[in-house]
Amino acid sequence: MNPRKGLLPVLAAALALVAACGSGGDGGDGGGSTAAPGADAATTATLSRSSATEPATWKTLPVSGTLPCSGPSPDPTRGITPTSIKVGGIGTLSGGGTSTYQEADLGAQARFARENAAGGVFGRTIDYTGMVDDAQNAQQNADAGKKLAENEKVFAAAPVTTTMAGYVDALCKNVVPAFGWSFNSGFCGRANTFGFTGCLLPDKYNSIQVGPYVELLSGSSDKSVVLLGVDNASAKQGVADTKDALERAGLDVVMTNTTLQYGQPPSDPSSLVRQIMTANDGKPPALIYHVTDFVNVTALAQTLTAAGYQGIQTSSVGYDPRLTGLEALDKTYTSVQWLPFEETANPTVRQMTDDINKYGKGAKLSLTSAMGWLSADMLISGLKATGKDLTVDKFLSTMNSPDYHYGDGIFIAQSTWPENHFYGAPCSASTQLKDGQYSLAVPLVCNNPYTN
Amino acid sequence: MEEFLNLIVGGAVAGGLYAILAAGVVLTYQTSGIFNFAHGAVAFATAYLFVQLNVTAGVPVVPAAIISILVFAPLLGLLLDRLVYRRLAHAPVAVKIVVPIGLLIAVPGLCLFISSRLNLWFHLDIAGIEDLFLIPGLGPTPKRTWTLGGVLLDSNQIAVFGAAVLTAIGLWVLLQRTRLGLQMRAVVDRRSLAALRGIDPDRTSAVSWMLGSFLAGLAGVLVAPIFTLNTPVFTTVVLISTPAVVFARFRSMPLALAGGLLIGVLQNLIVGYADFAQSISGFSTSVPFILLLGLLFVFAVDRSRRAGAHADDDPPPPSYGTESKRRKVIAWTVWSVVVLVFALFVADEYWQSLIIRGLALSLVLLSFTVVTGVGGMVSLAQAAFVTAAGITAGWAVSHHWPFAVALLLGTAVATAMGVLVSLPARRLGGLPLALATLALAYLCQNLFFQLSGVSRNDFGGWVLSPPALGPVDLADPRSMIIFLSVVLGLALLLVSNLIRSSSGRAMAALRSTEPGAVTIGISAGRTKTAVFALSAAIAGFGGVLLASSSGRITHLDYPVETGLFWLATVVLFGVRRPAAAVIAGLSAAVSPEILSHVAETSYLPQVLSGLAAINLAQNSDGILALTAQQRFERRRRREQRALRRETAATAATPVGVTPNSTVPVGATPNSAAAVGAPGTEASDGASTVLELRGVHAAYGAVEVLHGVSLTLRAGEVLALIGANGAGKSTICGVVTGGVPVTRGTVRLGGQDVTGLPPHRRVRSGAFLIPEGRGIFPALTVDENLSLWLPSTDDRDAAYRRFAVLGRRRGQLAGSLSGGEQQMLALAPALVKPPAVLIVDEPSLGLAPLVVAEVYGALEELRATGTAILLVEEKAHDVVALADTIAFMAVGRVAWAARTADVDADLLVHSYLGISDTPTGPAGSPAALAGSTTGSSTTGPTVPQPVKERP
Repeated sequence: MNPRKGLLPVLAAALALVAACGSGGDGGDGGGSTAAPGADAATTATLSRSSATEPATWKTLPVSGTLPCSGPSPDPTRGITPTSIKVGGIGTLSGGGTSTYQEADLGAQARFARENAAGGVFGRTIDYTGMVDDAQNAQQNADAGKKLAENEKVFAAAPVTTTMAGYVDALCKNVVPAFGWSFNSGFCGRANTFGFTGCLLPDKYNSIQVGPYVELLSGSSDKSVVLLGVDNASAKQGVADTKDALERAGLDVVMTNTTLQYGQPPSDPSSLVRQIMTANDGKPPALIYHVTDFVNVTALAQTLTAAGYQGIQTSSVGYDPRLTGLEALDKTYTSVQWLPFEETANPTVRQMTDDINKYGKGAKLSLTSAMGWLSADMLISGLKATGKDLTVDKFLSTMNSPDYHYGDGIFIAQSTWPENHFYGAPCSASTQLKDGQYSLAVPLVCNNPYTN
Repeated sequence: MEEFLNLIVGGAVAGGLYAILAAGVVLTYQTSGIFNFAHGAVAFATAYLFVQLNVTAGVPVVPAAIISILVFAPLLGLLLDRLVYRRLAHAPVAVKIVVPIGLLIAVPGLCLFISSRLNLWFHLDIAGIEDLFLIPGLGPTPKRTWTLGGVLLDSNQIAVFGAAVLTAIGLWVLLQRTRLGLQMRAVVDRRSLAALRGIDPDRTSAVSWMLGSFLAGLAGVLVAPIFTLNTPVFTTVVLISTPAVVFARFRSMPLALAGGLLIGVLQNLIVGYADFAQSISGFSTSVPFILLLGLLFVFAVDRSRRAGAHADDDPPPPSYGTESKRRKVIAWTVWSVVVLVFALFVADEYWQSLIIRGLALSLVLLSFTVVTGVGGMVSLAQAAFVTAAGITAGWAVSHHWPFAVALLLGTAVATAMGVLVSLPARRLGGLPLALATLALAYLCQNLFFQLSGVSRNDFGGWVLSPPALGPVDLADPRSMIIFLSVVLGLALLLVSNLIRSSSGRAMAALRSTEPGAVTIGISAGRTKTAVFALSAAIAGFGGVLLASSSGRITHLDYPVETGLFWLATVVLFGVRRPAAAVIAGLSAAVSPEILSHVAETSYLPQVLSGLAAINLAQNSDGILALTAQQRFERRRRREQRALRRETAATAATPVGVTPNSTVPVGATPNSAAAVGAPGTEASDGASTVLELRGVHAAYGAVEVLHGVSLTLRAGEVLALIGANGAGKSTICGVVTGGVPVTRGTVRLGGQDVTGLPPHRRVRSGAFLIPEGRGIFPALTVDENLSLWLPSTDDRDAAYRRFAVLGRRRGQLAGSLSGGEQQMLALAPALVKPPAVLIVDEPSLGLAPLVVAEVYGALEELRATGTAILLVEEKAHDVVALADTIAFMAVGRVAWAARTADVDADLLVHSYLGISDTPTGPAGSPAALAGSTTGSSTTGPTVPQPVKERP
């Protein structure tokens, strides 16, 4: 019933949100049909492509304004002892018939376990207390934040894997750093929360990743794109912003449709399919970008293929090692924000795989376990950057300084702080599922963000 | 045009799914009166099993489908019927709505819980639901797709459509062509009469729930590959099919099937043609709810049920005597002090925040006490009031208005919404009202709260932190706890006073009888609006405080489901009691925290909600009433024991008349009057077919029969006369089993049937024609007859006896004239004479000529040897027929006499209530002799006035 609930859709929703980062909440200026003036306005996006050894880079946008929740902390040594650092996570672990982020818990735990096995960070082991369940409920979500900050008194919250953002208030009040993938708005506009690819739901910035689409169509003279989205306000805004970003990058968005029901593919897709198949001056478009949830993507991709569509279909929710048997997604592309597990040549991928296999207590290699691992990894990198003399305030000021970056630009985008509190790192790769195997179609590519 | 046709064909195929779902919901609603919100949960459970069998266990599709759809789903239906639904037959509407909601949460949770336990205990490898990406269906996997004209059809859709067609045919055959179907329709039509015709209502209920579950399971297995295996989506799909249920007026199976197809087509057309939908966020998602709302207004405005004003639906709160007020005050004071001391001095900040949440939530929940507990109306829109009030207050605070103003403004907006929502309440009642509020709540959530200016989604909603009120800073948890406790105390006082006030009484009057309340000058519309407005105001006021306890509010914080959960919690503790709202609020706030320490599984809340649903089905007045009830029962048992000791002492004194005297009328040893030949050793050799001995019967705590003894022999007519309310119909009920006996025995054909349910007594030969025609108006004449006369020959005999019925055999019985209906009621008995025929007021409302015909038929029946217990209010008609007349007054047989010995004086005296009439003039020719024809009186009889025993 709740459009925010769902099984895989919980995850898929998150990813759809990530894909189509909603922005421009003023409501007054309509969907981004007119590009606002700015330094980069009206220029086609320039892309930076990574290789196995060379990172992809992007140009940060200057940001203005001070960030809340930057401290000083009321309890600067909260959760810190000479031998340990207390950490707990927040996430959706239960909910009637829905899937959950339990593997994120195991992924994070695997990363911490490796660090602890190696003696901890500057002699302090990570005392990971596990994730507090918000049961996909706003109240429990807010309570989870309070519990970590006021009851368990953790140093930091990692991983944070929930679509709700009620937890941030308690974390802000008590200045608790938090780490996760930014599919809730809590990772935006605060000094204490760090999305490992930045803030993906920016306010007045557009950092939508267009690289993979430009790259996929680079060999084609036909640059026509159809965008499909779901029927709610923020998704609509996301589609409008995506259209704007794609057009700035030189693609030709010939149709957008945002009447799809969340989690419920149309029971009779004929009419929509007919529209799509004739959207490009009576011809099918070169690329169909499904900015929707997993269920809609699998249903429509299959239907479109059956209706004879030969072009490129891409989404943000089609990658997970567990999906390889899914014929519905055969030949489709998926944008990913870090290199998939299949890229075993990449050392970070290998490290993550080894950690999960060795310390993951049975966790599978999945998008969810990767989320947990990345959250933990970023926290540890921040701890290492701060040094042995650890307080909350010192930790935050280290991380929010120009000297600190996370990510190498090859495995995952390099994020830069405090800029990435305001917008995301505009980098992504693309992987294709073909005959039951994922293969990298486009390596990590970055474009430059711009002001709306 | 081609596009139009394509949309229609595609829509109809998709609509097959809604048709199957709507048919299942209608089926169970008809036989149980329960709108099954848990239909989607059963669908989920079945699909889950099917998918696990197929994917994890590798069972091929066909056996997996047989196991899950044909075996598991019906068994689940049977289990739920036994555990839950059967007990809900007489529960209030709110409970009937809440219990399935509890199951909706519990059943999927249980599925996942069981899977995880199996994995843990037996080291199985049952795939987690998030690992099931490719959901198999009945068709090939992956699906195949064809193009038919301009319509894209895939194998899953064709499976749905095929299943819908088969369902339609199967249901038609079952309901129209089988005896089971006929019995089910009879139960739907008149439940109590069906039992009197030998149909076990429990069995029919079980069968219909099994069938309903089967349909749910079938739909589930069809839905899963199309959408996904996911409870919220399953629930949504059921809700989308609800307009078809309303279209069928909750009753008609063919209309439900047609309505399902229609919804598919309509939705397709609206989404296909309404281009403006693109620009309105949430419009296409809201189409089903707009349809639902519209259809409710057209089809569900039922003249007889308004705003819960239906005596059957909402019985008055049971009275448990005067509960000790002192005891209550002490208990509440102690608990309040304990909670406050803990909150203020012991709890850490986290626990304080939980208690603040609980207190604010209690305020919100109090709004249910007003609208449902006092007003008798089930509102599922309270969460929308909370959201609206919270967002309004957030908006006001963001404009730097003082918090107090924001609080008032939020309350005002919620109140206005309450008034708006009450408009349908003025025309709808019961379930339709609940569905209308649900549709409105979804419209708010999907359409209005979506607007970016309202939701402020991109900024994480509206900030609403606790304010400083004068010198008191509510940001300090302790001040907030004290402030909320005071506010909550005041609100409790307000609501308690409301219940006792004239408005509360007006609402209570409106609930029991709307026309009656209107005649005494209560404005129904105004009162209901006032109740809704007050409830919304409380919800809004509490909502602002609740939101400020979280620090912010977004449009998704309090979704519709949260409102359902709140209602369920309040009803669980007792929706009529204001105090229950407080307990419910605090429990809801702290239980997740407590459970997280207790359980190693995250499914515990779901499992608990299932247990709560089962508990609620048994104690529909809630947990708080349960303790009061237990105390009351203990007290009553004590009193009864004392009474029995006293009675035993009285009975020891000898009673004047011995039972085996020469007069056939005498007092039983228990000293109440026995009528007819006592014992089985009757003088004329005819066997006793009906015997009541010292029967006491009660409606609830009110005893209506105070020790009645009657005996009736084969071929005899005993007329039971007496004024209104004397207990005549209760005796009919006692004989047939409709009214339970508290003391004494009932014997039919020599067999003790005291404890047997009505349908089992039929086998002992009791046939009741109740007051106001013993027919099933919604069945045809032929179907009516075939319930008692399965063989065609017997029915033909009936048609020969009553030619008029033969001419109208295909007509609905309800369309017959009063006389014809009475003929129809009598006809089966004439063809297959029962041992005992009980007729309650057969002459009521019939023309004299018809009455003569009815009595002729009874005469005929007596000749076949049937014993007849004839109940009439007036003596006039019965004298000609009856062998014996018994006069009833206030729950006792005042006297009984051979018809010949009954004279006018005795009757007049009896009817006038001059009970110390001297014993009737023995043997004197009755003044009514003129109307007596040939009653077979044997010897003089002395009517024995039985006076009230001291």
